Amino acid sequence: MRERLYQGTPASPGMAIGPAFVIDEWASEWKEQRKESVQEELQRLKQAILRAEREIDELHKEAIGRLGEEDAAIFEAHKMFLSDPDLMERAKQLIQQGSSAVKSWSSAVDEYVSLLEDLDDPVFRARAVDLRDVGDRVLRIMLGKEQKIPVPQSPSIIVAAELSPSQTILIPREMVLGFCTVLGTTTSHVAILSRGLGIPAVVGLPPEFLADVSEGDELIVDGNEGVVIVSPEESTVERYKREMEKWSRSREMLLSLRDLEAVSVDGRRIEVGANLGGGGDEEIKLALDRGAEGIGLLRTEFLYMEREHPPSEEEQITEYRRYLDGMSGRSVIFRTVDIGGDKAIPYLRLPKEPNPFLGKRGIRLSLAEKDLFRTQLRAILRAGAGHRGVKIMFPMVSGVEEIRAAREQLDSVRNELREEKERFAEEVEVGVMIEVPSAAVMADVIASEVDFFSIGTNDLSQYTLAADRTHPEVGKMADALEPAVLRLIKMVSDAAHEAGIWVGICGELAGDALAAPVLLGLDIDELSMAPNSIPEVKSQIRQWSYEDAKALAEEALNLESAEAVRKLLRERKL
Amino acid sequence: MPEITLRVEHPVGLHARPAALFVQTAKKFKSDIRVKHGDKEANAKSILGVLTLGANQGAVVTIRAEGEDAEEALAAIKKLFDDNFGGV
Repeated sequence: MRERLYQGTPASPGMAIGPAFVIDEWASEWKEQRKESVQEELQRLKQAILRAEREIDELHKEAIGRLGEEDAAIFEAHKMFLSDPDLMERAKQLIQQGSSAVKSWSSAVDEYVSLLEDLDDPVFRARAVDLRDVGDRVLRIMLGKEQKIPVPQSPSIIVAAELSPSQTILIPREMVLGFCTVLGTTTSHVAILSRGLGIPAVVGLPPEFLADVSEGDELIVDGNEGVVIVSPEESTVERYKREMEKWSRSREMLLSLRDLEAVSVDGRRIEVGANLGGGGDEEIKLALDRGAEGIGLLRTEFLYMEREHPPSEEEQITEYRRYLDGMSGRSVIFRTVDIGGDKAIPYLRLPKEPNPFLGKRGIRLSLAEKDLFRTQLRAILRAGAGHRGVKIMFPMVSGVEEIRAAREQLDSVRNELREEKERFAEEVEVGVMIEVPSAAVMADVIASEVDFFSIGTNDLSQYTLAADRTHPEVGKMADALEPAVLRLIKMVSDAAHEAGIWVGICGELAGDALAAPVLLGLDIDELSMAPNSIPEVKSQIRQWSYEDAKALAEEALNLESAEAVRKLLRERKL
Repeated sequence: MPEITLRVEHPVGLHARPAALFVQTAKKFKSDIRVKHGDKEANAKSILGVLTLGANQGAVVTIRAEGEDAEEALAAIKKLFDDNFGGV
C-alpha cells in the first residue's frame, strides 16, 4: 500500500522513524462487583484512595527525577483531586444510597469529568483528563488489578487516542521514539511531557489515523510540521533521514546559542530581541526557542486589520498580555499602530492617497484619530500592570512636536486610569522609531524627549534614497547598507549616547548577519529581528571584537556605495 | 454573612497554581466558604468545585464565609488575590 500522510498539530519538535506501538484504551469498563455493607464499601474506597496517594507519590518522585519540579507538578494536582472533599462526599452519598464503592466512585468521577468537559476554556477542560486518570487509578486498586500498561519491548512510536500523564511517564524513555495522539492540544500533558523529555510528538490527528495504523507499521513522526506518515516509501524515509540529520545539527547550534548573550570577544554586549505581531503563542514560543531576550518590536497592526470595527480595549489587553506573559518579565516594545492610506481599514475610512508612504500614517494618524490612539495607550498600560519591561514606541515620527503631542496623550491617559483606580504599568519607557530622515538628522534634539530610539532601517532607507521599496525597478535602491543610511545610523547612535539613552535597530538590517559587525562597531545597543535570524546574528557578534568592528564600520562609512559595503563585509566575514 | 468580591488578575485564572493556593488557603479555616462565579457556586475547599467555575483571567468572583473565623478567612483570601497568587 502507498504511504499515507496525516496532518495533526505539532506538539513537540523533532522527527523520528520507527515501528508503531498502539495503546488501546486501558481504562476499560468496570464491572459491578458483589456489594458488601455500606461500612465495608466506604472502608474499601478509603483504603483504595490511600493506596492511590502512595502510588502518585512514587510517580511524582519519578517525574521530578526525569522532568524537574515544574513539569512534575501535574502529579501534585492529582493528589489534590484525591483529597477533594466534594468528590468524596458525592461518592459517600452514593454508597449510602446502596451502590457499591466501585460504582459510586466511578459515577462521582464521571459527574465532575463532564462538568469540566463542559467548560468553555480549553485549558480548564484539559483537567478532565487528569481527573479521569486519578479516578481510574482508584478503580483499578479497588478491583485488585496491578498498575500495568503495555510497554513496548523495542524503541517505538507510541500511538493512542489519548495518553494520560501516568501513561506517558510510565513508558521507559528509551522505548519511546515519538508520540502520536488523536486527542490533545499543544498544552495537554503528552505535549508538555514530551517537550520536557525532548521526544517528538504530534497531537490532534484525525480519528481515521488511529483506524489506519496497526501494531508494527512503520511510521514517521514530524513534530516540527505536525505530520505523521504511515508506511512511508523508501524515498520518503531517505528524505527524512537527511532532514533529521540537518535538524539535529541546526538544533545543536541553536541550543548552544539560545542561552548565550550576543557579546563580542572583548565583552561588549548587544541585546537581541524578536520582531513579532499577530502569530500568537506559536511565534512567542519560536522567539524564545531561538534565543530572543525580549520583543524589540511588537507590531500591533494585526489587531486592526481585516475587520469591521476597531478592536476594543479589553480585546487588546488580552492580546497584549499574551505577549507580556509569554516573555515573562523580559522587555516588550509595543509599537503603536502604524497604518496609513496603503491599507484598507473600513472603519477608519481613510481616503486613498497618491503617496501613502508620505501621507497620514503612523503617529500622524494616531494623533488625528485620538479615540483610537487613547484606547490603544490605555490597553497597553493596563495590560502592563504588574509587568516589568513594558515599553511604548511611536512610529513615523518626524520631529519633536509630534513626540510632545503623543506624550501629552499618554500622560492624560495615565491620569484618567489613576482616577478610575485601574491597575496599570507605572514605569514605562517611551521611545520613537527613527525612520524619517528629519528625525535622524534632529536625533540630538529628539533624544532629550525620549528614553530610547529604535531605527527602522527599511523606511529610513526608502526615505533617504527617495526610492519606493515596493517599486519593481527602483525598489532595490532602498538598501540599508548605503553609506548614506549607515552615516545616518551613526548620527542617531552618537546622539543617543550623548544624551544617555539607548539605541536599537528593528529593520531588516538588524537580522542581516553580514551587517552585524558594522552595527556592533556603530555602538548599537539592541537589535530586533525575525526569530529565525537570531542564532546567526548572535553567533556573528560573538566572533567579533568591538575594536575590529569599529574599524570595519569606519571603513564602511567611507565607501561610496551599498555594493562596495557589501563586498567589504563579504571579504571580512568571520 | 460577610462576603467579598474580587477579580482574578492572574493570567492563568483560578486554575493550576492559583487554584491550588486558593483551596489550600480556604482549607486553613473552619468556616464554610463558598465561591461564586456567574451563576455557578462551589465549595472553596474543593479543587474540583473551584475548577468547574471556569474562572479565567478577569473573572469576578464573590466569596462568602460563615463560621467563627469567617472574617479572617476572607482577609486571607483577599490577600492572596492582592498578591496575585504570589505573582506570575
